[in-house]
Amino acid sequence: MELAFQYIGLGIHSVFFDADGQFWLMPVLMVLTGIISGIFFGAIPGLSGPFALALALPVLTSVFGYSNEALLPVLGCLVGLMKGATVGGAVPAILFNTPGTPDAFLTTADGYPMAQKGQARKAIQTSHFASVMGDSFSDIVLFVAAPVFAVAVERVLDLPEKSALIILSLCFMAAVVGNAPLKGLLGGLLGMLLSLVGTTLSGNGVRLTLGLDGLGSGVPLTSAVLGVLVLSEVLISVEDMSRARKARESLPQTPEMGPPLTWAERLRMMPAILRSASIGTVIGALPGIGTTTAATLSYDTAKRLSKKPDEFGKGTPEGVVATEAANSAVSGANLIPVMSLGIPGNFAAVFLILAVETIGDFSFGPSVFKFTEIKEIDGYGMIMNKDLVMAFGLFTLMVMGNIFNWTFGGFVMRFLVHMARIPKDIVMPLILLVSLTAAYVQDGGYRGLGTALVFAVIGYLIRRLQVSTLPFVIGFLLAPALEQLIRGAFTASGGDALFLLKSPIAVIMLGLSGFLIVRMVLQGRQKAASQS
Amino acid sequence: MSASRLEAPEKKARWNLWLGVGTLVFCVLCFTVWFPNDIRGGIIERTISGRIAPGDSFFPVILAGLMMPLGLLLTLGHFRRGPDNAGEPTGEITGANIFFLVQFLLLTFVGLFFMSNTGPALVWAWNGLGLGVISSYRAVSTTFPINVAGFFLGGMVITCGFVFMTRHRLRWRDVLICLLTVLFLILVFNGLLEDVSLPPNRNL
Repeated sequence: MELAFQYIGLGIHSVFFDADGQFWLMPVLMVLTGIISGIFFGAIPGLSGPFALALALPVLTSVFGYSNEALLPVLGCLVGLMKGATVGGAVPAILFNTPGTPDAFLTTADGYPMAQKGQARKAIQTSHFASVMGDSFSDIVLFVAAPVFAVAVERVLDLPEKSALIILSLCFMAAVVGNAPLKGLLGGLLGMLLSLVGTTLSGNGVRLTLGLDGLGSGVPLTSAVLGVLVLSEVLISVEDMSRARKARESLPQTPEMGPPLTWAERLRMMPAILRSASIGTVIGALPGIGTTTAATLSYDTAKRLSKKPDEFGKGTPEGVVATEAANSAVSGANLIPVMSLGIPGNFAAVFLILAVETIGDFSFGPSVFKFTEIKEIDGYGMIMNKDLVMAFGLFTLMVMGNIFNWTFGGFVMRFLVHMARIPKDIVMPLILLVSLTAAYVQDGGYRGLGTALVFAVIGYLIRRLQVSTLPFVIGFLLAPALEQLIRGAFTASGGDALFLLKSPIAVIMLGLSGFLIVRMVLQGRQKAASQS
Repeated sequence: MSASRLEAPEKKARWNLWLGVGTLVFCVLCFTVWFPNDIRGGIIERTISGRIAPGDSFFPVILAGLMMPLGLLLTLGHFRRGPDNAGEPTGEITGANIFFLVQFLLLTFVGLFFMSNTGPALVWAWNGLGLGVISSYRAVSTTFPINVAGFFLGGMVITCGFVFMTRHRLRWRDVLICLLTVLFLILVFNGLLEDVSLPPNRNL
């Protein structure tokens, strides 16, 4: 226990003191910058947290570089953006019935009617309070669960089991994201294959480059993800808006703000907040299941348990609490598989992993939480697990983010009315230019830009076929780790063709993967049958 | 109900067939053409110490091998579906989508053309008008404002072009917003950040 506290202390120290021991506030300031920018970003209809993360990452690496010291300020800003965008998305949902982010979609159900009844201020403050409470709750669960889970994984799972775990995660994601698990899985495998371009683990030279020298060092990671996630979304939005061919309806007038939320009302909300945050945390800890599922489940539960279920949908604070506490709790819990296994569970987590992959020599995974004894060895200096210090540093930044969200978040939200009025049809073209510029700046000039465009087209086609891009991106990110594990497991088995089936745990995981896919295929068919 | 309405889900469902067959063809091409010609290592190799180890083809072959049954399932799923069952839900890619993609790529390439060539064109014009002698654009690629002229013009073409695409009109207010955004990007990437070059200056 003493060792754990030593690492926690070192983690906190790393946030406030740089490698030379000089006091610095940069990581904390970057969290604050992220929170405020995220809240503003989230309030603009059509934009979301992952958009903000995607655009911020290249700028942040340009500012801070790629050294280990850059990691905490960059991660701090990204975490701040993630938290801020979730909070900010509720404001246009409440005031104008236009969710700023997809997370806030269900908030319109009760937030907007509340605003129409002259309780806009109360609705916004309820949403802020529930959101920050939900986020803080799931962060606490993350701080406890991630190390415990990682230690368990490291003790129990060997190479075949870890390989099977990644396969299970990918199948789970393909099964739960979107309606087409077969095509989702196909997308995941295609993403994996594309990520192998250029790289080899044996040192036998490059592979799968189609003879193109530019691919020798592999597909530029950030540009590829930027293309699939951001540019393809911009393309879909631009096309849909272009097709609609109708004049943009002007937003209604800002409703009367009304009285503020009292502390007594906040106290009364606490049981509902804890229940919704628990639902969000459990859902968030499973890779691939997003905020919408958490918010829907929480809203339905709250309605079922409410003494006044008829008021749901007509402007009850209980409805706002249910959706906001749950969707905000997802973001912290989603980092449990990221930090303990290195498996991203949602789009925001993808960008945190990208940041870690491109900056410094830290990486997420079970080995992060190895509590190596801290000791001084002559000639070698201090021996410790520096990744663990970094992990606790990140936890500290998340706590700082919650504090800023508590204190400044509510204040910043008052100014969001104007942001919510920015039309999406102007924003999307601007995002397109920013994304192309970011790809050029981040990934070697036109090589990065070309990659972003190619992957934008791939992402566009995938989305148009109603296949989620998440398995594709996750496959693209996880392929190198999976290849390493599978190669290691195969070598260790002495070339046994059934190397993944020797361990009961791996067999169970692979069996579960198959079961999930079969089940979701059958469900998908039933859904299609009911639609046709 | 009209015949065209009845045909629409059928047409949409065919995308599963195209995807399934496309996947199978892709996998066959991987095994017969791409992998053998583009990966030096084999599937399984014996190391110097005599141990069996996976080669560079090992993982790609597993991935393509896993894609094949999925392609087969999609294909078979299309033929085995009942009259009321469209198989796995699917979207579709229409001619209009392809036309939009072509428009997008054309507009982007026009913008990139301006980004790449405005600076050199200005140098050419400068020399042609006898205002001075500049050996090449490369020589002034760090000199403001000529170093950002291409990005400025290309950025305006891209942003204004896409605003026009979405709104079907372009107001002066829209142009002003695009202008401010492009200037903001120039300020951030060219003014505030060091060691960062806007297009086309990194590729000179």
